[in-house]
Amino acid sequence: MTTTSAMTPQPVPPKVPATENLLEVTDLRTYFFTRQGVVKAVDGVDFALKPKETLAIVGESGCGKSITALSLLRLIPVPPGRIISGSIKLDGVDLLGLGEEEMRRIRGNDISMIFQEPMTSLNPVMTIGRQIAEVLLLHQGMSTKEAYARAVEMLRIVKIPEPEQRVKEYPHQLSGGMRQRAMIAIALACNPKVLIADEPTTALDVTIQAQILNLIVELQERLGTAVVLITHDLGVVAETAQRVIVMYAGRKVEEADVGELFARPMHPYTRGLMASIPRLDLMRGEEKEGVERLQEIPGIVPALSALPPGCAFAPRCPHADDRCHAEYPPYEQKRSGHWAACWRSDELFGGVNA
Amino acid sequence: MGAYMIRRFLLMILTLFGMSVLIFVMLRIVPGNIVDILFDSAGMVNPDDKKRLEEELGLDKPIVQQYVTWITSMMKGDFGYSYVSEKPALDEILPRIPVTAKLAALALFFSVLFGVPLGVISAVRQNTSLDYFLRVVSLSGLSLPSFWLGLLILMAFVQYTGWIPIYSDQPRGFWHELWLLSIPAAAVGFRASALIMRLTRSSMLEVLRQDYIRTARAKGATKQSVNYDHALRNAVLPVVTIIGIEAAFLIGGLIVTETVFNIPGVARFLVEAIRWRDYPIVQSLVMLIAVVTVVVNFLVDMAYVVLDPRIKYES
Repeated sequence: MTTTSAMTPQPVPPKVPATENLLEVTDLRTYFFTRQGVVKAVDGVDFALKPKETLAIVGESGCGKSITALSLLRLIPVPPGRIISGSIKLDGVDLLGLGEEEMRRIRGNDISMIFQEPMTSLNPVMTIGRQIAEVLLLHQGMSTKEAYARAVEMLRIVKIPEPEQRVKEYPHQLSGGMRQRAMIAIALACNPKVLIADEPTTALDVTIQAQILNLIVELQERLGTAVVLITHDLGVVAETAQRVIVMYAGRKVEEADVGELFARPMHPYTRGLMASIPRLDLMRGEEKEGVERLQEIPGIVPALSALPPGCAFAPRCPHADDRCHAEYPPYEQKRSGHWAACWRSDELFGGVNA
Repeated sequence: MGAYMIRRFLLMILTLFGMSVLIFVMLRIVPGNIVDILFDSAGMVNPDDKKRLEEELGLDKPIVQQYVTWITSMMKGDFGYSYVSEKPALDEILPRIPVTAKLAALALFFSVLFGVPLGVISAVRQNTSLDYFLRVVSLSGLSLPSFWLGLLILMAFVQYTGWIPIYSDQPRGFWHELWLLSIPAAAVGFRASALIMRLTRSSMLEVLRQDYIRTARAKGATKQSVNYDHALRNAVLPVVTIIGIEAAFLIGGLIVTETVFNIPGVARFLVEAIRWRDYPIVQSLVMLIAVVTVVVNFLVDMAYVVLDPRIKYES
């Protein structure tokens, strides 16, 4: 795969002047060295995040989204994982060049993270208050009393009722939605520049999902935090993000502003993801003649240790031809600000080369 | 909580009752009583004397009646008289308790002091040479009987190098006594510390994989804080159970160790009493051990409530 991509000209990633970008990730490669071989979980990903912006990273499970997120905080388990190349610049400082202690000061302070599973992401033997106060004690130099007062304040901000009471409670006394609110309170307590939200609503009850998402958006506007939103749910993307990256098998396959992406998806994978969103009008249509069935993408994400030589999506792609199976397509600008890696996007979806 | 405590207390009484029956019956199943032994060793053969002595000690009565007599007098605080010394059983036992209690407490203290931190280190440094070394040491700790270890220590440090004085009846002050007891305590506690270490290690490895540990790292917590505040507080729960169980096992280890190190404690006295079929002493001592074990396990259950907020004892 590396040899074929070497034959094609290296794509130039979309570059914006460095000063504008809060977070700039260039050619990030995170590999896992396992007995089964090298797993290229993240293989040359670049993106930039402006202040207050929301960037969505979309893809199925196992496509490298979460590893990208963990790489940003350098929380990859080493060994077997290792960030083998690239740079992650926060305000111009390369995080990959920092010492462990300097990196620790950034975690939870400048960049913080919300995880997918609120039921297990909070420490069961510590009070909610202590878990919020912990970050404040670590990074803000507050006294214990100040930190606990601020913890109550944070619980109020994330709209947990009776914060004075909740602050003394343990995670098991809170519902899933409440726990995710508490996680958000922890993540935002130090007013970070970047918030990474890794599937923040996936494990929640559908009725709670919208609430949590709205809360994130609202707090983002209020606090001016930039958000990297990792999700497989394009519905979530449409509601929250300004820019979208679609990842497949450790690489970017498409990238555009949210309106552009939904209007003109260029990659068959993105199209497949969109087609697999359940739609009410389709469900109603089922009673009529010529029913449109809910689409799915056949097959699963290939094992990252044994990728096919050509386009990684080719085995599942309805449009794949011989070239797709043989060579990895270049990541190129198909329209203004709209990038994709597909040999056939132009002929199939009428892309106009910019 | 209140209801649980009451239920728990009643269960303790029941356990002790069962213990008392068991030890009473078992002692009398063992062939020979004090009278037989006296007659054998002293060469007395007059059956009348023997019968008179048995009557005097109440050994001729039916076993049920003997049991009822024992229990009722124990309720009144009368633990009987030693057959051997003819002194009240309590007067024989009580003076021997402190040294054994100190030895047991010291052994348990050592085992936790070494077992828990070494277990944490072993888990955090999983699959490093330090981890392998600690695992080998702990495995030998589990495999070596404490009396044999005690003998080795005696040979090495008492006989050859003379670094450690043999236990004398009159320790000079607190620190001297601590010094004298520390070696036998280490010999007894080694097994427990090895077990605690292995359990702490596996429990830590389990906890370190949890999501909330990743959260703690993402919050920027220091390595120390992640390992000890976040992980160990969760990992210590099964370890506490084992500490409770080991406290009971420790008494078994003490019996041999007190003998090997010549320490005039309760455990060695128990062996003597069994040899002489000194029923009042054996029964009182076994009941004492049973009470200690039951109380320790009760404390362990109470410790859970403090350590794990998810546990609530409600009816």
